[in-house]
Amino acid sequence: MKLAKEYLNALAKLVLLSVIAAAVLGAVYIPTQVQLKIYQEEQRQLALREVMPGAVSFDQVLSGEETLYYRALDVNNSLIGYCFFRDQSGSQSVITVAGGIDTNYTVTGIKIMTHAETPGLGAKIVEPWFGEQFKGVEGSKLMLSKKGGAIDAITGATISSQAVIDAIQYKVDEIQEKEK
Amino acid sequence: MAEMTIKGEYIRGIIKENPIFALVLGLCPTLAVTTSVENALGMSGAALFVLLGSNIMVSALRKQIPPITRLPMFIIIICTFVTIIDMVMEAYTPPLYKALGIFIPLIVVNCIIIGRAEAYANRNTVKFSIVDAFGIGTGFLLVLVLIGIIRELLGTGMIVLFGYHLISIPINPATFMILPGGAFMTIGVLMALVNYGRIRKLREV
Repeated sequence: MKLAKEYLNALAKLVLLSVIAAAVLGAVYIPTQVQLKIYQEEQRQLALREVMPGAVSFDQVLSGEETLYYRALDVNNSLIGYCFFRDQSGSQSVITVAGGIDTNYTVTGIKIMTHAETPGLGAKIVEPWFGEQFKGVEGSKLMLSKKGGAIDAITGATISSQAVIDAIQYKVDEIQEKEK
Repeated sequence: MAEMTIKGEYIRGIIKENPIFALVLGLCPTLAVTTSVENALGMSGAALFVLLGSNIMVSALRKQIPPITRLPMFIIIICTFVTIIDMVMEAYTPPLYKALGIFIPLIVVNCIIIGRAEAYANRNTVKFSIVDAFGIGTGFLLVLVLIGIIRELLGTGMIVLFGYHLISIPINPATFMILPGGAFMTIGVLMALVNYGRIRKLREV
């Protein structure tokens, strides 16, 4: 009986401590998430400028609450292209890609925002040479080079490479459809 | 046993029980994040925060913590503080958070912190546990910053701290010092020097 009481006592204290810990973490989580959102938005604004050099403002194209893509405008307020973000399933994780295309649907730049692909293989999608390949590529050439496209896959990471292409291709098709 | 004084307990954490050179604990983050002085400061700051929080909570609850569940309870306390600092750093210092990466969550299993909970805070008053946390934390910080200075200076030829250019020396930077090999070499040489000094002191006595 005494032993059972001791166990119950220990158990109750463990549960109580866990509940307090959870409450404290919840209280910290809310304000830090707000701050994190602000930071992510800043990063997105920087990425838009990076993938679309020359643009000074970006108009959101909305579908309900969701931002589908951005219309990039230059100093004279004329349309120079479109920018977008796309979450695409890669090999191990969801890859968030930022991309820009000009009015002829030729890629002006891409940037990998976040990913958790395999280090040493898929994670190489962030390397500059991989992203550089997309510059100046038109929609029809957005394929891996072994399929006749313009993009060389990363050795050992075909799925991750293909995912980045799919992300861009998906958005190019979507924008083409909308802007027709 | 000699009576504990605040100053004595503080100094003990820096010299006699320095976590890296004397206790040889927490070597993994020490090797990994000392690529620059800034990273070293961020890491030891985070560790100090967790150590302080965990020492305070463990010593305050030491009479309430049942011996059979003490380790899970220590871990819950440490986890809570680590998650707090993890979320705060992610939100407010994103570049530093990115540089330290996995080593912030890994403070949970940092043997310095759980070691102090078990060996010190669980047996001492809140007051001395706070002093102990500051002592050990300072010891950790000094070693990390020292290694950071050596590696950043030799590896890049300069020290940049929070955007300010502090020192630069006219050398041909050895990238090797920034890589893991440089970490092993630096800490090996430092530890050899520390032990050399210690042995000489022993012989004199």
